[in-house]
Amino acid sequence: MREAGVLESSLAIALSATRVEPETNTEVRPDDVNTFALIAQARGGDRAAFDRLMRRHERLVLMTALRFLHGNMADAQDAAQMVFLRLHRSLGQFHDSEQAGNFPAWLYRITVNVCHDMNRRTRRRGEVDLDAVARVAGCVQDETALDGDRRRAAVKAGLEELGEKERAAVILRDIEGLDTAEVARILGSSEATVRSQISVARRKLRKFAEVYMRRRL
Amino acid sequence: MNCEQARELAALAASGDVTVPERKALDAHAAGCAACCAEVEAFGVLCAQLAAMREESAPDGVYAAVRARVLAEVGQPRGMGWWTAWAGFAAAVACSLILLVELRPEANRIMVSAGGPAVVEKSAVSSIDHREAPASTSPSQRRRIRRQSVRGAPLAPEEPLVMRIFTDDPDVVIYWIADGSISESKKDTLQ
Repeated sequence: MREAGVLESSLAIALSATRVEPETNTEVRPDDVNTFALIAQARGGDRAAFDRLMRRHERLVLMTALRFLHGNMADAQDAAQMVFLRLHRSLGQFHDSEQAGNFPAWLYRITVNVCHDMNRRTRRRGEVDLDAVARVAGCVQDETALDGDRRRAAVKAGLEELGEKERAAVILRDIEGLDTAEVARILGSSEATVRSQISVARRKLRKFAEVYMRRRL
Repeated sequence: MNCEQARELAALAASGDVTVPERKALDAHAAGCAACCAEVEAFGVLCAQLAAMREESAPDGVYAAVRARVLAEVGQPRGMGWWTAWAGFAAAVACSLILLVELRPEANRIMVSAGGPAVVEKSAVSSIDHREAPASTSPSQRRRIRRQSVRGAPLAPEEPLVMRIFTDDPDVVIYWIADGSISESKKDTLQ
């Protein structure tokens, strides 16, 4: 009975997932105009405008960094700080509202680059983020969690198993909801490469979650 | 289309990343293959779970801390850029080198500028200006200075010995004056 219910809800989620349309940044939206105005004010030295600009995009930057940096919040905060400081130095790049329309993509690109650098430095030092391992292990091994929670935990743990490029593609495409072309631009690769990375990554995640759920039953 | 190809497409079809002909081919295969049909469905669930993670957020305090750190740093006057620092360093090195060259002792300058051998001339002069003779010369300089010609009558025992040293630079002449106590054997050597 419970299984049937789970299947039903899964189907409902699957159907709703197919209806999700990827966002595109080709049109100039009112938000972009406001962003452009804020950028112009911040460029003129208005700290309050820069503060509003950060507030508007802080979730995008911090949560993306958090996912790229294996759930380490301190590192994600450092990364977000670096991204916003780089933004402050680069405010002159955004001269018109069209460029302001590309602003989120620019922020994603800078965030991804900063996080890649941080991950590279951590690997070079041979450090293992034990907290991240414990976090993921804790989620996955929680026996009292509900089935849906365990599935989500399994997916999160599976994300940690992916290679850096595959994880980047999945984070930007599936979690952040960008379209494939946008992801390709941000990652500096072709659409075909991103499609391939997404396909491989999703199959790995599926397999990981399946094995995990089978072990739990 | 085989099952492997169908699963590859199923992974992409969940987010609409397939073309219309690909979608038709996948549907046709899934209609006759229960395993692939289940795969299509499972990828849909996976994509929904990933999309749900979009709603996750951090506590407000975390964002506020980042903003505070950024604004504190933005408010500070900008430090020197790396190129400014390097330009300053290069200028300091260049100034030091110029000062070193300018403050070098005269003897050393002759050693540098004199390409060929210096000419040593001895003359018997009773008095001459009392400029200091070069304090010391390096072994390499001594090698380059050689006695070329000695003129004049033999020196009296109490007469001072004056050495005039010519270099390749016509503006630079070095006088070396020895008092009368110089030994006879030394005088003979110099003559």
